[in-house]
Amino acid sequence: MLRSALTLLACLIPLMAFAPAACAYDRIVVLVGNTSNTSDEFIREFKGRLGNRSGRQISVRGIADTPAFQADKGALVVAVGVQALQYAARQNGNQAVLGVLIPQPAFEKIRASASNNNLSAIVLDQPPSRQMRLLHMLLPQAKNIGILLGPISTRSNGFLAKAAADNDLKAIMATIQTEGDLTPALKPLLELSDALLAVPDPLVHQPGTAQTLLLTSYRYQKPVIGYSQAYVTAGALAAVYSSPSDIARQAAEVADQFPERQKALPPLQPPRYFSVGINRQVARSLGLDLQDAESLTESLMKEEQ
Amino acid sequence: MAIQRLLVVLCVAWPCHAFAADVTELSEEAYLGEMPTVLTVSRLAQPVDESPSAVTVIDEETIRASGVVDLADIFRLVPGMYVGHNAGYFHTVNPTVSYHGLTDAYSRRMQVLIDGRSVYSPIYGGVQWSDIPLAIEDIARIEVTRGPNSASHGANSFLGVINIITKHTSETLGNMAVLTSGSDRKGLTLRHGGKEGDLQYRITAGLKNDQGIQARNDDKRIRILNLRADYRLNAQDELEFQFGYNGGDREEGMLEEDALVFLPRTKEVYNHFEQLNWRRTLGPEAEFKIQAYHSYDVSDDHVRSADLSFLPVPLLNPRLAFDHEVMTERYDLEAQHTFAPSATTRLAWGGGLRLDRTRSEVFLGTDDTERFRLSRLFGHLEWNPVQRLIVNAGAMLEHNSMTGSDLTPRFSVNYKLAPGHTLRAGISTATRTPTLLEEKFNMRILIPTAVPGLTLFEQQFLNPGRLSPERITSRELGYQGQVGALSLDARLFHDQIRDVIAQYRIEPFPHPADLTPISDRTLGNRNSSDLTVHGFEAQAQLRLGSHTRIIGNFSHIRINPDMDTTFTSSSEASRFEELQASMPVNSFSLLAWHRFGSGWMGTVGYYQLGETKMPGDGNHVDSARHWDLRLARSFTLGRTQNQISLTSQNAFDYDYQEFARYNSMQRRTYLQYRVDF
Repeated sequence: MLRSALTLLACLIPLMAFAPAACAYDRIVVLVGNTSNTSDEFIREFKGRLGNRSGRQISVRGIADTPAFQADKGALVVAVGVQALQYAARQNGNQAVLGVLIPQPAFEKIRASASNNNLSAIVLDQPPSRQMRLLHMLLPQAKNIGILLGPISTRSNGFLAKAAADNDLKAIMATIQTEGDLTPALKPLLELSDALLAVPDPLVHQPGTAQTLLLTSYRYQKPVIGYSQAYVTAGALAAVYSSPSDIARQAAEVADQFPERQKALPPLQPPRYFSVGINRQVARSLGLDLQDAESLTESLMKEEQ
Repeated sequence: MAIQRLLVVLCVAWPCHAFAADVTELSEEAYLGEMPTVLTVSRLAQPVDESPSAVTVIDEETIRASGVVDLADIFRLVPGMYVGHNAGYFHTVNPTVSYHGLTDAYSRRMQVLIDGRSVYSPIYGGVQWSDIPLAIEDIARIEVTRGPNSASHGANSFLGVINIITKHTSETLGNMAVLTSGSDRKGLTLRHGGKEGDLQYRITAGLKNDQGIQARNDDKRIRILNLRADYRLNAQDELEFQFGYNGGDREEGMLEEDALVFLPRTKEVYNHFEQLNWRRTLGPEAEFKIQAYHSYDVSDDHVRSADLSFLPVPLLNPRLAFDHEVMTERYDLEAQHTFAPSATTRLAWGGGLRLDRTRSEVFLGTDDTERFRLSRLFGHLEWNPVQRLIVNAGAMLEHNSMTGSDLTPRFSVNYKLAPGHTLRAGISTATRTPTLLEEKFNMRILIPTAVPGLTLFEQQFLNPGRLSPERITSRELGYQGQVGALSLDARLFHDQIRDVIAQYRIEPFPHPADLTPISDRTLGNRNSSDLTVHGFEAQAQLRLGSHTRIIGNFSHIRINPDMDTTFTSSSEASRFEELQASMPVNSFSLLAWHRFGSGWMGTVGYYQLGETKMPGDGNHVDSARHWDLRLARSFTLGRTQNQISLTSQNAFDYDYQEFARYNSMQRRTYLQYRVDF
């Protein structure tokens, strides 16, 4: 930790005086699994932020492309999404691989079995403290925050409880093991909570369960705080989330700020740039008078500085 | 489960997995992928302080805490509402539910919708509450609009609108069983909810045997079957299908009140409906939906007369007997588009078509099927020019084959004095289409005699028809407040009703020359005079933490018939005057419940009504009060959630009557066991 902080400092000092090229990767390979709108958005923004540096090569490779992708020593591999990171992690050697658009549990799973030990990532997961602060801003009266966890998200219960306590909130958690437990677990949780915080877990939160979660919570007149723009559109009251562009901006900074000969990448990072989304219709129906999304985003950013 | 198998087959045949997800791995899709819009514009209730009219919302918690098993009883918790456990004896031993009175056994001046489907009867008006194909456990919430709202729901949304919203299938996954047992009622409800990919469904089946109240021939055997399936086509489109059935034997008739024809007997009722809705989300504030439904209702009655040998002529058969079948059928189609034309406005507009078919040889004097056609266009605009002000304006243009065209507008302004304090002023108009029985009730009972050429008859009703719709103009001033845990809703209202349809005596009446009437008088309906309904009502709700809730309602209502009109007869004047006492001047209700911990919960209900004198089958009853008590214990056994409750309605066994003096209420106690698994 200290070492990377020092490296960061060492890198930043010349940054202020000189052109950053000396301090950055000159060769970057963006590795994508399935191309999608989100990976396109990432690549566009990433290239846009780095592209004007002279002498830099950014190439985009698909994992299914032939000839098969071979790690190019000295290049930074930016793996977009879980599939691409899995692929890159299977490569031998200590290639610097930065995973982006990746959930933290998926990253940890990949790292645990990777032959490459120079893996890092900018994860999609918002720090629990950021979510709790948003919750507190939106619902100052709320005291008890219900959190429904599944087999994967249950590992973060300690962090969640602490983040809640730090914001004078009480996290009430329930863990389910099968989808059938969802409704029976949800109802008592809603009775005890002032709001529900969604923590990503493929068993608890997915398009198929969103109906049960959102409709049941709404019937109890309890707002849901989601974790994506899509969740807000679906019917969550609000969410703090990072778009592919937000992550691309941060990835470009990583690529810019770490020297090529640097052995280890910086440790896993939570998203630095983010937005708050608000569902006005849901807020109105629940009788909540909320600030607009932009000022909520600004307030959150200010608090983190 | 044949239906479940059928659904699985349907699911295999269709691409059911638009949203199938891997539940063991978390991918970036969870954060960046699509999600279906669940809380669509039409699923979100308008906040009460922005609503253009006074609204009472009864949620599932209230329904469960009250312990009611007959749906009609829950409306005792709506200020201004009157509930009679039983109404008349003539053709409907059924609860009567009215808002602001003006009711006989048929509450014709209030609309009732279930998931947007009107269950208002075209022949009687109002709702046969025991015949609704709906299990109380499937209700998500009930929204009662207090005041006319023809602008949104069309004719007959006259004094108020009850809108029952059932749970989405995603809220009823798993199984449920509810067993009810009391000395005079037994019931069993079973529900199964399941999921196959993007298709979710539930099946609810119920049996209820109710012996009713003492000294009434009012036993009911109610069989219910409900099916609902929700199928998500993609993130924008959703299909919803519902089927419902209600059937069984119902006892009718009353010897003391009608000794001639409608004697105690058992009739058979049978009804079902099918409904299909398609919703498309067009954006955060925009939605398009199409709703189509069909409903079919038959009651099969076999009527016998009393011994008619007292007549001074020898009869061929002193005991008449005839079959009495009433059939009604409805086809309805409606489309609605909701969107936000600008940042400060929201518009909902649409149109609909309806066909009602009705056949009743005994009531209508013909075996022809009556056809009633209706077409409508509506628009509703909400304008929010500044944060504190909301203006609502809407109108419905309707044309029907009975009374022609009508335009019913409404307008209201909500002004937020301060956060949590809103004033509302509104004016709303509505029409009420005459029911088929008001328009065409032509019931003649032929009594063949042994004398050649002589046929006697009794003309029970005679209606020349050509009635005009009733019209209401309602003005109100309301306040909606929220202070901490207390919410308060109060309003003053002044409703003017014109061309009130009222019964009058026809004496003598025209009849074919070859028939001889046994009485020279009969009854008919006509547009009579005007009347005003005015008063004050309030509802308060207090939530003390999440353990205690108290709901209180009060209403003070005066009905003033315009008696300056010249009536054709004193009987018309007195019939009209009767409407005056069709609602208690003062009524009060209270429901409070508390969770004690360790799964124990207690509920107290208190109801107090002033005296009434209901028209039609009703008569004078004194002011009354009663207490309901309930004690429940919830517990978990393995993976099952259980609740055992004991409910006692009229727990102190007060002797009182509802609707008429022949409906004497006693204590009714029942034990209920519910398990969710």
